[in-house]
Amino acid sequence: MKKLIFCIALIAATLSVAAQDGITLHFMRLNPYSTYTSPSAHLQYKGWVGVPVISNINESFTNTSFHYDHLFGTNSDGVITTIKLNDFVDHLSKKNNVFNDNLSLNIIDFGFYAKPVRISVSWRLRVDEYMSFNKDLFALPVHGNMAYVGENNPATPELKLSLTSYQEIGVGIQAEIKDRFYIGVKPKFLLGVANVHTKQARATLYTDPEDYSMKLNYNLDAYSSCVVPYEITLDSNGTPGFNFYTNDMLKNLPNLGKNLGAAIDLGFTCRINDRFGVSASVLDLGFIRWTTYNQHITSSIAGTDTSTYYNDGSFMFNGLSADDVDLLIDDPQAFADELLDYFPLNVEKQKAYTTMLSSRFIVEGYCNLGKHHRLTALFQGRLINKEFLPSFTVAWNGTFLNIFDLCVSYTIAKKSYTNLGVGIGFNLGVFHIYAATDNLIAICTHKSPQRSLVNATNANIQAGIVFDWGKLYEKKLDKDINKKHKNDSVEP
Amino acid sequence: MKHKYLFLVLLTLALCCSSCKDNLFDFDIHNVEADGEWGLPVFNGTLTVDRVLSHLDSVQYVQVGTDGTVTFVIEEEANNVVKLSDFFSIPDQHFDSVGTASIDQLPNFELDQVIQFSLSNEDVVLHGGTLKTGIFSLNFFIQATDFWYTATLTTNNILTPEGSPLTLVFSNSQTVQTVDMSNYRVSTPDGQIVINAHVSVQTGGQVGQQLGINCHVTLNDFSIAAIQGELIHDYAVPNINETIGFSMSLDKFRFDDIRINNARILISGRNSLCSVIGTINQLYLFNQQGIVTPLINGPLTINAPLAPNEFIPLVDHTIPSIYYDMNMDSLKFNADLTVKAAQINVTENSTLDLQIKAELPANLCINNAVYRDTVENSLQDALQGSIIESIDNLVLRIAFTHNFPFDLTPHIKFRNSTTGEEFPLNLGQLQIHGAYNGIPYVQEPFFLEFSQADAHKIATYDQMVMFFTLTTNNHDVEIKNTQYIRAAIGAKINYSNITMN
Repeated sequence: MKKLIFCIALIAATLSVAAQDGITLHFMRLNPYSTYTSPSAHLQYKGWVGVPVISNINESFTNTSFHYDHLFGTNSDGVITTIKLNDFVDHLSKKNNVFNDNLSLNIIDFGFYAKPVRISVSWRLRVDEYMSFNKDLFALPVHGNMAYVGENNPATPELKLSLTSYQEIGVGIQAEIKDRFYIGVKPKFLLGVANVHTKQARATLYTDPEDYSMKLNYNLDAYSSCVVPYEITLDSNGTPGFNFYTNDMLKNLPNLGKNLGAAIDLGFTCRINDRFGVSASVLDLGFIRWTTYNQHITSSIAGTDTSTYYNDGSFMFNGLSADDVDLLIDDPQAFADELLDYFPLNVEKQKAYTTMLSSRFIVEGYCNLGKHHRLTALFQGRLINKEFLPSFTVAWNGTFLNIFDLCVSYTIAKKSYTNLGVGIGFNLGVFHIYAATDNLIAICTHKSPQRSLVNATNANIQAGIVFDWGKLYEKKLDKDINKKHKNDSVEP
Repeated sequence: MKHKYLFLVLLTLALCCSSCKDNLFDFDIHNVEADGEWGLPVFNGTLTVDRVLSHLDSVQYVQVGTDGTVTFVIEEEANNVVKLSDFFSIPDQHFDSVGTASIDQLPNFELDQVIQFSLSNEDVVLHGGTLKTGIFSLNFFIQATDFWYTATLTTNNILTPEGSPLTLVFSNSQTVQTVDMSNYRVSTPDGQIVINAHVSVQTGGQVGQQLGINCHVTLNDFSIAAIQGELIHDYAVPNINETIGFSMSLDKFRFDDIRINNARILISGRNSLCSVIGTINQLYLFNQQGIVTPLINGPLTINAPLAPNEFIPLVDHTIPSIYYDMNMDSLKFNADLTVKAAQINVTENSTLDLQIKAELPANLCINNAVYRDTVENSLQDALQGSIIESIDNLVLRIAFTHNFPFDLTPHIKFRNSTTGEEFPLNLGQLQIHGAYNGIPYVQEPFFLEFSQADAHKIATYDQMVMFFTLTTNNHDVEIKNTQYIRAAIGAKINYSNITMN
């Protein structure tokens, strides 16, 4: 049982959670990386260069389901003594329970102004993991099939899984196209590393209320790809496993350039006046074409007219036949093999396939409150596997002495209403260190921040060190304001 | 100011590090909270008579006819019922002969010695045969002093395996000869063995007028490989009383009263001896309890002609009804047989073998039969620990259709083999009626419910006793292999918190 719990925990800690990339940093105007989510935004440096690898570390997760307190009961010493499957299942949504994780790591990045445009270059490593499932996936095994009886009430467990790891090399350009109107474009060249993608993983189970006979259908259709050679193996029980061949990794280096893709970030900003502005952006609009060691994994009910439990594409089970009772007693393994024949797992090589990136859409409006403060309302959504995950954020950003950047945000998302974000940055000469999170409460709900984190629906951290130099202020639009603030250094 | 920022950074790091002390995933799990209800179809199949019979240990005793009729067949062989050694053998015997020869006959003379040996059965005239074993000892000497002789004894009645007459040479220093007679042949057209002695004498001293000649013959351990001869009178074999064990293990059945109609008794014989006639006086099945089921109503005459290569039918006897009680494990027959007088040409392996076959058709009337089986309570292990604590309620749903021509009342109980305490399972007044008129009997679904308390009780018993009472309700019925019971069993399990030890 401990292993089971550990596995669940491991999944929760790793596979989990994707999430939107952190949004709080987006509002921190002194930070060069705020332009990652707003390509058309103004940045008040003439140039910047990130410290390799640690310039912009962004880890985010969304976990609407596997909350520690819903899953585990502990004693006074904090030792897990109870697995609360009832509580866990009861807190699931009927559909779209999400378990996402995004990691973004800047390897190299820099940017500069070359009038009339701003140019930025970045090389990032990104890992997007996304899993969503409906309530039936866990409610069926936990609560049983008698909650799903009758012709019109099948259990329909479903799982969607998408894991993509890739390198992203982008060149961004931001420019004023017309008075008060700005655009930003960042085409990106993508090099896929690994992918697992389910096109469909869904089952339907009907249960007869009278004699409990069952009718099962399912369809699994998934793809996988990796730059390292691997093999999907099946053990004697039909359980699949991955076998990676990592002996001669240097030989695989050329594969890093074989899964090609392209994406683009687009942004548009309209400064209405010096106080108000609106902007919109589309991020990660693109695809990757996977070509290395592709596998196509399919499975559905198989059988023939003479198969005992097969009927018109379905696994029809209304009890063991007399022959199978004999077989079960005489040779349990043979019986298991016979059953497994109904659930074949087919793995075949796949020439090439394409996956789309999880795109983000952002629309926002801001209001400058004086020279140091800005209020912003932002709506964003992410499209993952044809599912749209919306959220809404309001944020305040204050800048002090041109060295201290503070932001407080509040985000409301699906099943997540307590996302109080905080961002803080210090700009000491050219040295700029910063950290931000969208959900400070995520580490404050319990005495232990760790305990808080494993109960959080959303959590993220974005931090790094960057060198930036040269102030480049936005030009003024409102003469009255200009006069009033003629001595201001931030927004003259 | 810079110190303040540094302080904030250090504070944040300290907060993170302190939190790392917590280990959120220390497990000591005692309970899994999971409430639910599963409904599972457990069994949906058809059990035919054919399939049930195939599971009996005594499957070799079941015969299914092309028309589906089921017959229990007990077929046993009684070998060597009559054999050659019963009425023919050559006993050990000794012959002494003292003769004289006149001096006038010297230096060479011949004499004949006749042996009239006896057989075990005076009614057998032996014309010849081959010996399997036997020791032939001959002591020949001439009484005289200063006298040397050579005597060559020859008989044409005994031939070596190579076919030459038996010849033995004696002298003063060689007065005893012993011969292993294995594979020797004997030819005795008149039942006698004549030994011719040719004697050569050289004298060196005084010789009397008469020479005393002594000849002693001993036959030991003679056994026959084959004989030719004649049985001149009928030979009455001593009363044959044979018991043959078999293991038609139906020990889980107890038949208090079962009447089998039209039982058929077949007796066949394979006879390589001589014609044999006689009577089967008794033929019955019996068991260790001494309960007897006769298979014939009175003596049966048999006449077994020579049929050395295969069994030929001797008796085909039908009994309108027999009463079969309890489980039989032995077949007994008693017979008086006579070997008919005739020329005989037999070997040591010549026998009369009988094959006795009792065909007991499943055409019967059962008034009270009980199938009882006591097995280890396998649920005992399954109901231990967390499982039993988790199951609040188990309901079995049972429905079936059958066309068996008998009533069946099932009972199940759990038993403590040490204390004898029992816990009967409440099956209500469930009684499965027989389909006597050929129309299948349909049992509407019924439900057996077990609470957690029941499960606790069941877990304390180490044995499960199942017994079914069968009766044909005074009907004469016929069991056919196509008869069936089609059952659907489902289980509904309610469970709640799973407690783990």
